Amino acid sequence: MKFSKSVAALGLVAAIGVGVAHAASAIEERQSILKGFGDDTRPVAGMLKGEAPFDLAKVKTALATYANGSAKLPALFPDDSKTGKTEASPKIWEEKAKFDGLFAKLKSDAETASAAIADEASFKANIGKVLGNCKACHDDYRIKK
Amino acid sequence: MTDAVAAARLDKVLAWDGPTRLFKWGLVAAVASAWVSDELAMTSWHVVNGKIVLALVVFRLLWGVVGGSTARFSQFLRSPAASFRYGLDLLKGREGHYLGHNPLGAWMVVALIGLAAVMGISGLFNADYPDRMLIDGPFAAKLSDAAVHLAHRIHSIGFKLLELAVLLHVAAVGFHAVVKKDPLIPAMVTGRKPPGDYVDAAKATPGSIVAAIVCLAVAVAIVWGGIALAK
Repeated sequence: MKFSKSVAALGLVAAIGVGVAHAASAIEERQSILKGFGDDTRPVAGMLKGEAPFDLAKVKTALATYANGSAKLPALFPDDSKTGKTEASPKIWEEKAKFDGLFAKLKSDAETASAAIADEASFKANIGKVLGNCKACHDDYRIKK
Repeated sequence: MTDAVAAARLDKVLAWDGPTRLFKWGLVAAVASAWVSDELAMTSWHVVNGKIVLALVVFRLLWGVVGGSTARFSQFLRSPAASFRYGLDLLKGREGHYLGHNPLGAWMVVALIGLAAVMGISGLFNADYPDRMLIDGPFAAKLSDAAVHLAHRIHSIGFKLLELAVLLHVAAVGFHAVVKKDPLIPAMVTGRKPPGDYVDAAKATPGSIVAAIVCLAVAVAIVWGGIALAK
């Protein structure tokens, strides 16, 4: 009996351990995707501000990064990843459907813009709608420390 | 213009002069466009837009000293006690009628201009905190993260207060227009009101157009010049 209890306790500890690992890896994974968004956006921001020449390839890369990442992100905010080393607001889990909808919108906006952007003029006309999604999400769901 | 229209126009009295009305609708347009340009991440325009808001605010401060009679702060601002009494009278349905801003409306003018100034000034030091990537105000680049964070918070809170003030303002104007039958919406467009037994003045004296142009030029010079010098 004692043995089976120990096994059960061990199993529980292992389950918690897996849970923690699961949460931690979700946090790490989403942060790495979002950091990738930032890294690819930096040159685009430079073009937008007129600090760097227009570069279609870099714009398309950024848009592809947004589309790929936003397909993965909704699954990377599981219920057990609310705490830890994260800037994610608890509001995310209160409004998970709305939150997930923002990623769906980012994905579709990025794909639409990627199809529409061919030169500097179409870049300036179409990029704002995509980047507005960053702000929309960060305003409501990112805790600014 | 037919005689009847001319007569009706002559019949009305001046409530707000042209520069005051142009400022008012100019600020409405600039604030609306600042909001839209932020939502759509039109970053370069949002920054220029902010300077336009500041120039309009500076213009209005100057115009409030040298402008038309109903635009002058000394003429339309009443003490808090007098404004409170007006509010009580309004609730009792026995308030006095004003050609220009009523005492409560006057404080709303101050609140709206003040909040537009808070947005414009905090915007000068603001950026898309914490990334500081897509947009930065003219003074943001040299600032520490902590300073930008402070500007960011002021800009965000200022916007919420501005939203509230605009809603309250529109509701109050709607109340005066619909319930009190005060034609102040057409008056803010055409500048004229039917003559009446007004508490403040029977009719307004317009400011000089030359003075208005000088005020605008000074305002633009202060904002653009000041930012260029301070940068």
